Amino acid sequence: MNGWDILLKTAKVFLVGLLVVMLSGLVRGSAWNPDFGALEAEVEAQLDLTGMRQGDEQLLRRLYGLNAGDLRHWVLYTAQDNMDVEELLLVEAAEEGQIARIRQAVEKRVEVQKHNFEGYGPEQLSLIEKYVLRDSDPYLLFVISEDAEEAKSGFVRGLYY
Amino acid sequence: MVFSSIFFVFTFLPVTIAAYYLAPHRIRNGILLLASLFFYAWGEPVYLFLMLYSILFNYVMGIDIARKRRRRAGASLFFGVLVNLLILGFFKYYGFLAENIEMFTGRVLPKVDLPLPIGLSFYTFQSLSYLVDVYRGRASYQKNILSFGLYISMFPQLVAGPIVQYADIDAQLRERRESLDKFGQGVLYFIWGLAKKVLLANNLGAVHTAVTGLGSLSVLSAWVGAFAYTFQIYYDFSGYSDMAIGLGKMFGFELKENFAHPYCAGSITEFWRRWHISLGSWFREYVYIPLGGNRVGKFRHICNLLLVWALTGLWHGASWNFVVWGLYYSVLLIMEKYLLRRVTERIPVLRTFYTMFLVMVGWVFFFSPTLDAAGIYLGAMFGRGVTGITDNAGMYYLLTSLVLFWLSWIFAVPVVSRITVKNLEKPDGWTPLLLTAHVGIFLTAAAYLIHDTYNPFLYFRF
Repeated sequence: MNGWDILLKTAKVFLVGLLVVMLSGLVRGSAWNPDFGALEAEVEAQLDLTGMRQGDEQLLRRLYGLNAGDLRHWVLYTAQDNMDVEELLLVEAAEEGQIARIRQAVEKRVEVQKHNFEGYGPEQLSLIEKYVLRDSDPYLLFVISEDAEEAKSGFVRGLYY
Repeated sequence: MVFSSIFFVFTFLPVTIAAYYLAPHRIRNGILLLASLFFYAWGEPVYLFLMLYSILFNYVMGIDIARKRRRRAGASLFFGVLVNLLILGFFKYYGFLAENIEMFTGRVLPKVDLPLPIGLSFYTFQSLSYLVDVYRGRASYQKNILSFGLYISMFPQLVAGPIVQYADIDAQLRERRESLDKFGQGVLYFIWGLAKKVLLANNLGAVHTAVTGLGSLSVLSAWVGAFAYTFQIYYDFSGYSDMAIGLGKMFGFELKENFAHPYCAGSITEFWRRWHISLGSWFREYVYIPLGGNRVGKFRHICNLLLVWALTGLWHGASWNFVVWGLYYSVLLIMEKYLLRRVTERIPVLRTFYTMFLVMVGWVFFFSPTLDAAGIYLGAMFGRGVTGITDNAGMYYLLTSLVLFWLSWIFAVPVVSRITVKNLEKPDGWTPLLLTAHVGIFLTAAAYLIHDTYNPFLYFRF
């Protein structure tokens, strides 16, 4: 191995190291912070919200036991008609570990709804059982809808763009 | 910084030209390199370091490959290509990959929010061209890092091509001849490009944006929107390419044409010989031919076309839309090659309409944000989910854009450019009429620039 070879080998090692440092610096410096409004729009675009109404803080507390003031952002839609079960909850948690608690609250809500329609609402029950619950800390999506899978796709897409 | 901006036209360009021509020949590449880095840093101060890294890395790898030509050059080439593709993949495709892994497996990858460095796809392909050309012996390695840096970062074609293959420009980087004639040609190219972008593409873009923003579409409005985009993207991109070629000429470079009246093509195969020629040439030279091209069995050939076009689609963007768009063209090309060629050859006039129809359908995948949206828009073009065949909005945009559409068609066919070039090539070609026309076009475009908001080129995002 002559002087040139050693120099080139050293340069290559240095350049690979430099690339790793540069990319890791960029990754650490990049704040991953999707806009909640854009995420909400991406999800809502996949759903037919006619026949649904936006829920307020009281409804959030009543259905999920969640305190709106504890969350960074949230949006809730429920069916206007009591015989419909369509529902959408999109949440941005305010602190670490909160997502797990919200998830439990949603799972509890699903059980309650299943219980409500068991026995006399087979169509509603079937729709509830197809619910989508997806989280990607600090965001969580819960949907009961014929278009739940599309809403999930919109949610994931919104997280990355 | 974009070419179609007041600062570029009236400050950056005159200063760079003055500095270039006042400097002695031996430092002119250095002057252009400095100007190019400033040009890039104007919009991408952070990613300037990425570009400098790319210059340094590929410069070293070029030397490494050249020195090992008879020994382990293949391993060095592989390493060089890998690092370039990793950088491109990280910035351009990581989000797409992470999204799809999460979508299909539920596995969450770390999320990164990094904007795509402008021009990355273009200068990465140029870097790959350099490494492969040196490896193949098509060009010798560049000893002067300033000249090599200029090849990677040259501002006329830095952010949206044409993609210059190293072997085509190697000699010009070492020595080129500037002349008043060439400079004059360059100015004309630049004015044509500026006019295409500012007068045609931006106005067509306004029609397309208005149509796609409508709450509901009729068949007519959907076609008006698609037609507007079809010509917007042509004038936007070919305008940029003309400006790049013109700027190159002003500094003594000869860059190859990137468009050759693609909307006059009589088949999809011909369309792709006329559209974004430098990208097609790159894929042919560095992917398609090494895979065996068409000198293999039918099955292999079909596989080669599918792969090359899926990659061509992905090159344009990290989205399934672009993959489907690429595959759409691969299917059309395969059909033309094996089934339709004899049919299209027998319908001389209709085949242009057949090509335009398929190209317009293809652009829907390009401008739609998602595959779903593309499906809905295509459905509207063919009468699905529409308010009717026509509606007031469709009629309004058609009637108010008729002159613009007509001009777009006229300038897309070779007649006007042939007449202009023919007259300019005559000894008395610099007729007062042509000169006045060009000054008029330039001043009109400049007036638009003053009033226009920021209008970047469509191909910047690739």
